[in-house]
Amino acid sequence: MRSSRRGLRIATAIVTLALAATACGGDDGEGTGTTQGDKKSKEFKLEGSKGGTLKVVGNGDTDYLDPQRTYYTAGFSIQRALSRQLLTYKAGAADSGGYDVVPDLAKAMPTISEDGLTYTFELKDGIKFEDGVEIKAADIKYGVERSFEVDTLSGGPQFMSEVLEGGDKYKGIYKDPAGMPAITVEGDKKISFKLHSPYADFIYVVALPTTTPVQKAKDTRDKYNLKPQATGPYKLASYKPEKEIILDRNPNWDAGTDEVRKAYVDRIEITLGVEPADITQRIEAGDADISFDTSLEPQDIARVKGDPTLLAQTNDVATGCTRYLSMNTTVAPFDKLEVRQAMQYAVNKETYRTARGGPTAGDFADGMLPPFGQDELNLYPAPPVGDPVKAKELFAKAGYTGGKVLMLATNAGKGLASAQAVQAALKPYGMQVELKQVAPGVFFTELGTPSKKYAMGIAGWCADWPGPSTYIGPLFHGKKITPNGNKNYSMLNDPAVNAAIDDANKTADVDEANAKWFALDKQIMELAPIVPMIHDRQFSIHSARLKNAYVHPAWSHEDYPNLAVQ
Amino acid sequence: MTAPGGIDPSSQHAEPEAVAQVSATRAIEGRSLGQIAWMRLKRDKIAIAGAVIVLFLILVAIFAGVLTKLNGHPPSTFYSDQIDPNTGGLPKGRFGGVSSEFWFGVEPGTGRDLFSRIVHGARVSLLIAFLATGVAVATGAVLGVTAGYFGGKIDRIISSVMDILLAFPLLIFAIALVAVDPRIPIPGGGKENDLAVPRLVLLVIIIGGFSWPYVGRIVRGQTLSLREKEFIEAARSVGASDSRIVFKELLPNLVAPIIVYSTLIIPSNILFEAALSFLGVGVNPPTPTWGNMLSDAIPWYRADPTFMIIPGVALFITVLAFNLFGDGLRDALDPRGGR
Repeated sequence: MRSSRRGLRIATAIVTLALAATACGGDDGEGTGTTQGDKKSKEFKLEGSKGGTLKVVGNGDTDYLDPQRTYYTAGFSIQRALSRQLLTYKAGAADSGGYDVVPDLAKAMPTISEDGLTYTFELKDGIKFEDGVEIKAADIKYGVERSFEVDTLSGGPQFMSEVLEGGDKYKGIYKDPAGMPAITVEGDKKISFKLHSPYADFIYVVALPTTTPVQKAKDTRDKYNLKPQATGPYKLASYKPEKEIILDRNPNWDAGTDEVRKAYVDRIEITLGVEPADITQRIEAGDADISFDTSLEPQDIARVKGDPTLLAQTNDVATGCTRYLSMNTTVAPFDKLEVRQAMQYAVNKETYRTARGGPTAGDFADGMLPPFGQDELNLYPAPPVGDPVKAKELFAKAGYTGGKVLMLATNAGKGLASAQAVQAALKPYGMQVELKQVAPGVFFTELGTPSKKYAMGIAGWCADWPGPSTYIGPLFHGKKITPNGNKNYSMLNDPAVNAAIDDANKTADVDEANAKWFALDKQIMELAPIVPMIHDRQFSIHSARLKNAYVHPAWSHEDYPNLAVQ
Repeated sequence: MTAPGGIDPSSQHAEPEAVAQVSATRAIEGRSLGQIAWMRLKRDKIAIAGAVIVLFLILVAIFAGVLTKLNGHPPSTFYSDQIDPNTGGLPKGRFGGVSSEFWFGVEPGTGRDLFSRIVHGARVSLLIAFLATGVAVATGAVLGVTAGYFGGKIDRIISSVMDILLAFPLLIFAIALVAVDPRIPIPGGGKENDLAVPRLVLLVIIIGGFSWPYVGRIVRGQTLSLREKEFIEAARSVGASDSRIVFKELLPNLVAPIIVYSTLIIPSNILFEAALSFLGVGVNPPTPTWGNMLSDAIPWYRADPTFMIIPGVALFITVLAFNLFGDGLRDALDPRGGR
């Protein structure tokens, strides 16, 4: 299972909706002429000396510091320094082992029962919380049970409730203190999870921060977010929301039990509320090491590319996110298949990408899934600028003559510029795109409210782990259409697609499951509910003194406990 | 009885101040207030320069469509060949892509023609500013006269409203109002069929709604002093109705301060619209306004300064011209005020 997974060395990221709104990722694309070549597979070794302070500057705060609630790139980065899970990802970039899941709190990879339903982990000895109390299997069970408590502890990933037996019924540890029957603890060191049906990607679910142990006695419920108990090499020294997050060494972390985190720096200072342009300037001046949440903006690209010293301080990587123009299949004119197909040729992906910053913004997409080694779909063969002849033909076939179309867009920066690129591209076909602008923070709330009847919107989606399984299910399953917080923005409800998604989710073998997801990508694109725009890339800059500044593919951000400063 | 900085309305009824002494062969000629003001204005070179620029801008705004036909570039068309995607979308040419074809260069990232966007932006910016000023002046004059003339409870209510509006954190409130996206319900239709208020109308109402108290206060003050004057007393004693006194006696005497004040709030309304567009709550894209152009240009100030200089200079010249003209007009209509 794991070995075949290694074949999928491309890209993906744990990133969230919140991130997707502002910056998301894409993939190791071919033939798009990036200046800095992708780092090819190479021997990877961490280097650096202990000591110093890592200075991070950011614009916005993280979502949560509570390990069971965070679902954001920056939040996952902090958890990497602050907490440990049963399993975690190796240190390294996409091509140097970053995708490999390895034991962390667990002694070894899980033993899986014959039927593929029960995963059993054995814990290492002598790993302690920040207060010196040894971590027990029951603390991990308690932590996972907290993640079910979505009313009090909202925000976190909900994969455990989807895959565990009885997960849809369990309401959480506060409402039901008896606990989750599918998670069983034997003694202090053994924990088992029972699934309702085989799930090929369960080890990736376990590697999410959801499995961080929490002491029942120290659980302050929704206030735990302000002072979580550390289990990793760093503990929280100070947290002032929207202002600063400061981590310093956790004396009860034992380097001997941790093969993944080197913990070079003594202190991590995250300063928040800094303007994006200022962040770049501070990093270039050496006053800060990395950005918490921004990458290089279009206006910086020419300058950075033109300066070899600065260029050497950059990362240009695919992030595993796809940006796509979602068309609401329940609203005219997109209720007609031919109109949606015509859109595949009418939209100009080139001007869209240029408005986002050009080739460093991403690689052109022809399907929802970034390249995981599958064949290109090529269902609607057209150059990135589109094919006006085919578009006109299909619009005519649909009897479409033009009209007003309401599109949701963010109110500033790249989001607005790229929405205008789509608007301008559709004008020649008589489609008058009316842009409704909202703040980036509420964009997905608006788009995810079907009663608002937005006909179009450009959404971004990133996988939660390396593999194709989390792109399609949440976005195109008809059962996932909800009155609020809807992620099926195109409102697609096709019985054949729904059945195929259910089937792929229940497939135990990874290769077989992947083949099903690839086929689904094609099946969905035949219905054309979206125009895939780009698979995102991230072009980011770090300080010259920073060592091991790779972008970790599992959460599309640097790996805090392995960064060293000189 | 003259309000500070205002105009003494009695001047119209007093002997004209400037009676030219002409040669004995011609009879002494009286001049109207308007003629005198025009004479003074003509002598004020700076004000005339301001007026010429204002006139020019108005013509540019009116003929924006013709001007963009000249260069053949509609304001919202993307000219991708003018920008280089590999540099983040910077214009290929020097100085922001200024060339014989693209007179002010192109917008980075999109390649839209900046000249076309500036002239179309002038249209939107001026239209909103003028309409908003019209709303402000109409509301301010009516409510100001009402408050000043009737006094008592009516005055207290209207004055309180003006004080409250003046004390409001304008911009924040305006942003909130624009963001709520009000809808007009259409009888018989469902909630989804409610008519969205066009952004332009919304902006005019909001900007006008916040600038009327400035006019209202001045008009009210003038009215307070006017209503005690003999000619009003006389009108009242012969039994003129309130509406006759307000419209036939008071308002004509308030025209001068209203005109002066209008020319002075137009530039502040241009800036107000620019500020709202700058903050992303102005008219909807792709319609250009100087405010949203400036807003788009901010991040590019290092990479492509031309992009920021052009709308900035346009805004600067416009506001300056209106202010110079307004000042000149005030001096001409009321030489004793101010200086």
